Amino acid sequence: MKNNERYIGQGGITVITEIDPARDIQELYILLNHIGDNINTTPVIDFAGMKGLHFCRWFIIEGLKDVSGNAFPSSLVYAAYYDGSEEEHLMELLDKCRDSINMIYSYCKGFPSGTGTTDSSIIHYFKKHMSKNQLLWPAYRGGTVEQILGEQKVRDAIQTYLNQRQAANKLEGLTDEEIKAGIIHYIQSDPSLKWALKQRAQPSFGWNFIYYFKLVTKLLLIVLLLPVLIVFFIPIWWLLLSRIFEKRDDKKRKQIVRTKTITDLLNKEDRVFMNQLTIYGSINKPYWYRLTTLKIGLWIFSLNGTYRSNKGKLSGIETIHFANWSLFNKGKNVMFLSNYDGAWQVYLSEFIDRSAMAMNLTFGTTANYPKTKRLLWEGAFDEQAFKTVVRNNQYPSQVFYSTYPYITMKNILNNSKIRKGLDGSSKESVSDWLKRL
Amino acid sequence: MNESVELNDVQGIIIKGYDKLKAASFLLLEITDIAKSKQWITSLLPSITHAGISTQTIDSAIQLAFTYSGVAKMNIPAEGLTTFPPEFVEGMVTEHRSRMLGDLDDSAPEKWNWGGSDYDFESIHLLLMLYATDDTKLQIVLNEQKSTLASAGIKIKYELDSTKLPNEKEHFGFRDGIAQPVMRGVGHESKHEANLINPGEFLFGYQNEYEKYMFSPTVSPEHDPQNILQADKNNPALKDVGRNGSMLVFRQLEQNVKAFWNMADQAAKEKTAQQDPTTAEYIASKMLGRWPNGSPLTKCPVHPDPAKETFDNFGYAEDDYDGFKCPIGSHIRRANPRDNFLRDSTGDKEKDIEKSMMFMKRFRILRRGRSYGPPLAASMEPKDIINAAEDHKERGLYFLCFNSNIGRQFELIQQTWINNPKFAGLYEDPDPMIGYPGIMGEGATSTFTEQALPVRKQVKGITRFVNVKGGAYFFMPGLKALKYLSSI
Repeated sequence: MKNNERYIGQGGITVITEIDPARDIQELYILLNHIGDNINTTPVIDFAGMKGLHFCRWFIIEGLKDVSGNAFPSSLVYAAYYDGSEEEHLMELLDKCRDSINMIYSYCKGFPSGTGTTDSSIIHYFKKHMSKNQLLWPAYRGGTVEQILGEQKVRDAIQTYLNQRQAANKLEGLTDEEIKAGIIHYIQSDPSLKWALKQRAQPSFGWNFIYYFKLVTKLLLIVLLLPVLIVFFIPIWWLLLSRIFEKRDDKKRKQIVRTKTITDLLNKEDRVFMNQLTIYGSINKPYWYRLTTLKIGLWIFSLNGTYRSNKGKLSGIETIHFANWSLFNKGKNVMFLSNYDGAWQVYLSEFIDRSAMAMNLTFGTTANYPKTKRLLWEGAFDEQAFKTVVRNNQYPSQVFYSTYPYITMKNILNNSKIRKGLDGSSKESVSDWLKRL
Repeated sequence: MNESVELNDVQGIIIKGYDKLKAASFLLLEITDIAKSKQWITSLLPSITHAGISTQTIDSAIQLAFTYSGVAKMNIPAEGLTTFPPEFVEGMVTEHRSRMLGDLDDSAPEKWNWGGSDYDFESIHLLLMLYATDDTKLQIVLNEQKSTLASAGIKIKYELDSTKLPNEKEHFGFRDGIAQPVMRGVGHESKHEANLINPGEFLFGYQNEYEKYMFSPTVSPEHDPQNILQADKNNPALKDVGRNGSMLVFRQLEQNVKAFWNMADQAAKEKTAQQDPTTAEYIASKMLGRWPNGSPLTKCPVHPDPAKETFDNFGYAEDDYDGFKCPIGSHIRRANPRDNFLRDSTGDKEKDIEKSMMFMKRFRILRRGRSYGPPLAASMEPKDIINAAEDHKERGLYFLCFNSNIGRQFELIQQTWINNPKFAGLYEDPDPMIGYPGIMGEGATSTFTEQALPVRKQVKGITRFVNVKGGAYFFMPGLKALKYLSSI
């Protein structure tokens, strides 16, 4: 278990590459759909061989415009969430899927090909087309793929052990402590599992120093900006400008109705237990106001996500594994991508019921969003309107891969608490720990 | 805001269960002559039972609902047709919906008795629901209707007869229909605040639990020349076809009673052999969350309590958070998680309870189901059911429920709670009685986890006992809307 030795963080990239207009885009659809539709049965690409990969997806953006109606060229987007650095991820991607990458990206402009193409020239290509993730949110900080899969195995092994002991009536009359000792002994005796008795490595002093140093500077920034906030931001930005622009939007607003059929989308949903959300839209005018608002919103999210909601829950939403926001097309368009457990309906309901204001502050900057009031109110509080707008701006991902489609975020958290009971770092009582099994 | 419901315009079955009308029959109809069928609806209007009529005074009731194809037959303008809810427009049978609802394998639509084919989707137009105090009275009502249908350009495609089982039980032998929400503003308020729900969760034209009006089917005023309809709440420039109407989910669910009790009996025998003496009735009750007589395990964990047969004013968060009494994966706890919907979500127990109570009101349905087929044992007692020989007769439940947002209510409950093996942090536990384990892979079976001290117990290898045999989504209009539909 690598992260028993050293702390490994999680990262994500979003790569947007323009599709070569000289190539037939329909062929690319066919290729990607072929990869995506067979991903859990007869995989074309060896994703499972990528030991640091949590999730990835490819999707084609076609027919997108900015709010003024200027077309964004048809593009291919690759988004991935992984352990370690982007460099490590790209190396692993090429190592396992070089042929498929060549095939897919032969449809994209400027992809290096021919003799003399090296891994580093391809990595350079990916890096050049990387779109900055304004916000990347890994729900569970420090949880590597190896750990998530490993702790699930530990949990399953304990279940088998308990069922065997119960069938043989061997748990009768034992105290909680004796049962737990039996479990520990069982894990200890299995060479493939006994790593679970050792604690996961904690972030190094240097890592912690930077982490908290950043927090302190951010908090200091807030304190320093407080007078500006009180004198300028609240009365002018928040109370005045928001009303002016919101009223302008209201005049243009049409009744919210489903504007497209979503059969393509639905055909890819609920194939496995996990799903993905791909939405993108156009930033409303005036750009300076909307972009600044969006960036402030994402900055607050990021602060919360990094320092507070880093243990499996983002503002009460208990089903997200990874999510990210990325501005593209020179800040005129924005995408939100997430990887979540279970059904779309309940996932969206969680957003609406538990963090409607956060949705308004961020999504509220985009075109055709339900009417908001003072940046935070209304909007997503209208459940049906919000869900309709999300569906209108949601697009299929031709390829979606999850390394652990059946291990939910709640399972991951529970497994990790089971493991903490084994490695001695749990503060729970033994009887509370036994309830986790 | 407290809106009072226009009871005289709402079809009665939406508000009332008609418990005293023990006999019921459901006719699925095809319109062959549009003009004649509209005349028939017009003539039927005075006989349709509305919710303003006291159930004490009637010995029969008649209700009418439409499929999407049926509404389309009424010549609603095309722009109006597109305003119906997408679930209703698409119908119960789509590739994705079958996955969501678990309508696969033995429940696959191609194996349904009705509603599963494109042909049925096109040709089932109306649902005529007939209720009466007893079979004799029902037969009279049924004959009356049949004789008029023949000359009304309407063909009976399917006739579904129900059975009223003793003591309000369903075929597995458990008392059914206890936890029902009650609409605010209909006069008889529930004592249990959690069950008191804004009418907009069930009816178009009223505020729902988000204090919004559901998108309702509408037409423009020029398509309502007689000015029958009221203005739409969301867009007052339009006329509201949906007002006082509701969406009806109808599914024929076949129950394999013998297989269910065999499983429980087998599990009880195994546990007893392991020096953990128990009974099939206890295991089955743990799986349901109530004893066969209806008393809830959270309140009576050891024995059924005859005084608590219909007891519903309870929660889980305070008394039974860990599920030691009523298991977390039991049927009633997942179909209605009550105050324990959020588990360790906000970091504050009180806040979790408060928010659970608020959110839960957005995921309720009004159930109006009726059983069909003969009981396996006339007494409906578990021990008699276990001892009865398999008779290979079809039996089950006509599951009927009303809601205003099929996607957020019925479908969410079915997918996210009933069929979900991961419900409330579980791992491989769909609903042990009615769930479908297929999402976990081909041939997967369910596990049932019984939270216990010092550690949980499990029943593994549970198969599916309830299969879908038919179904469709219907729109049950208000009376004025019915008049409108038959007049255009």
